[in-house]
Amino acid sequence: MSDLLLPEGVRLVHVGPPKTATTSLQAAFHAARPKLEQHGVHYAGSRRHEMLAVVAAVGGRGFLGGPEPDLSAWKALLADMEAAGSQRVVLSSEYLAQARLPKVERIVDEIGREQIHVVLTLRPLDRLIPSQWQQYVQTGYDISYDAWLREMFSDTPRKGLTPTFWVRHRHDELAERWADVVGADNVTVVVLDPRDHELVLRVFEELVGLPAGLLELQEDLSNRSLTLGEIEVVRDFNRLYREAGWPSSAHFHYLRNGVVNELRTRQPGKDEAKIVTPPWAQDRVAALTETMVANLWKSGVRVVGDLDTLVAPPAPAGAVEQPDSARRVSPEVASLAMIGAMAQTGEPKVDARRVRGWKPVDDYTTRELAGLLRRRLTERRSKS
Amino acid sequence: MGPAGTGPATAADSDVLRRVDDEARERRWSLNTRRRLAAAWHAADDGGDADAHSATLAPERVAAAVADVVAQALREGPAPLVPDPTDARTEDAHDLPVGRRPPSQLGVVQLTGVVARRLLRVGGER
Repeated sequence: MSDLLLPEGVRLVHVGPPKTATTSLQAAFHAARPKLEQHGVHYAGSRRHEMLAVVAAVGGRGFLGGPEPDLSAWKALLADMEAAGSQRVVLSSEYLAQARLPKVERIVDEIGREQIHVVLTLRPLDRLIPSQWQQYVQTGYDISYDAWLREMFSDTPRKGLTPTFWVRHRHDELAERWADVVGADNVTVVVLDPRDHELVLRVFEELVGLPAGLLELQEDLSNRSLTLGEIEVVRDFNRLYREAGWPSSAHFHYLRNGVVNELRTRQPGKDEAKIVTPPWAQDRVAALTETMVANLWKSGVRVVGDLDTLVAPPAPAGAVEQPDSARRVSPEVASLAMIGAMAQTGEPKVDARRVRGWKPVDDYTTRELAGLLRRRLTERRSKS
Repeated sequence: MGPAGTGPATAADSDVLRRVDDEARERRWSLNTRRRLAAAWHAADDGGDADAHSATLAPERVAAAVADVVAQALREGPAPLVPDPTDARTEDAHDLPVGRRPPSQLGVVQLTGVVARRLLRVGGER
């Protein structure tokens, strides 16, 4: 039996934070639902990620113009967990990372303080910062990466600008916040291994007593981060959207569900420019991660993996800023962005019906065509 | 030349228009929709792209083209992108060879011709 195995009846609450393989973990649990039950494990809810329920619980906001968070969905999720009885239950949502202390206390009480074990998945801050910025841009921000970093590392950041960022990503404080409520013994930090994407699945299998290999990585492009060029298109659209004063629903409908979803159907080339943290910020991240790791060592939480790999290196000597030309995009990106927006202007049901109606003559059998011809002639005769 | 009838200015322009039009055709979008896409792309060309002869494009121009599409959709509301196959007057069938048109776009005489030719060629065994 694994040392990591949690007791029967445990409520394993995975709090992310965002950009730490949460989607692949959630997809793996969701895909394995029927098998999980055979091993006494229940994955809370019925979707891959019960986002709106959890966002409601932490008092957060939904996507710009998207569906509203729903407290009744959170209540239903709690009831679902309660109904699992003595099974080991897994609840996973990166939005739990943005719960401040009062919300953490309330969530823990609602789930059941005695049964909870909190798990954080962590990867180096320098790797996830670019990804987190582009995620914010997708929600409507039009601030550049450099300007955003300067605000995040400022002693007096602009009020209202991505206020959840450090709540989610001061990983030492995140662990401490939950440990203060459930006890450090009931918190596990899993350090991700960038060379082994399946490791996190193996650790979670051990935590809840699943056979090794039951959880499988799910191939999915739909959650990939956008490239620098792609997100610059989105960022400039956000500026135009704001200047035009369009309704928030337009942002969700045309941008998120249209442009972004269409862009994500492509696999970017290895040579495409990624979002690169400028050297001044890399140095700040390096110093901060040293502090965070030192605090995590002292915190008393259980650690799986090597905490020291979370310490980011400072910028290499002679590192330079990313050139402006890196922002430019390929014709493929341009065309997909336009197609994605245009696709959202249609009437899907009518369009789907009409597409079927455009089946060409060459695809019909002679018998089918003869039948059509007979009907036409009959109709013509009955009219005359 | 894109469906808007305007000639592309650069290789990247040409590539965007070709890709957009190919994808729109693939989805069976109407000629009108294809013209709207091309028009949005041309409308977004403010001449401010300092590197107009590059194989890549300024993200601002792409965003402007997307915004053009969105602005028109917000003005006019949703509308089908695929032409009505039962509309006998639709221009969308005009550039299609007979075999690629739906039966609804063929008159009785044309349809009779198709059936007759098939029966003569292979004895109707299809």
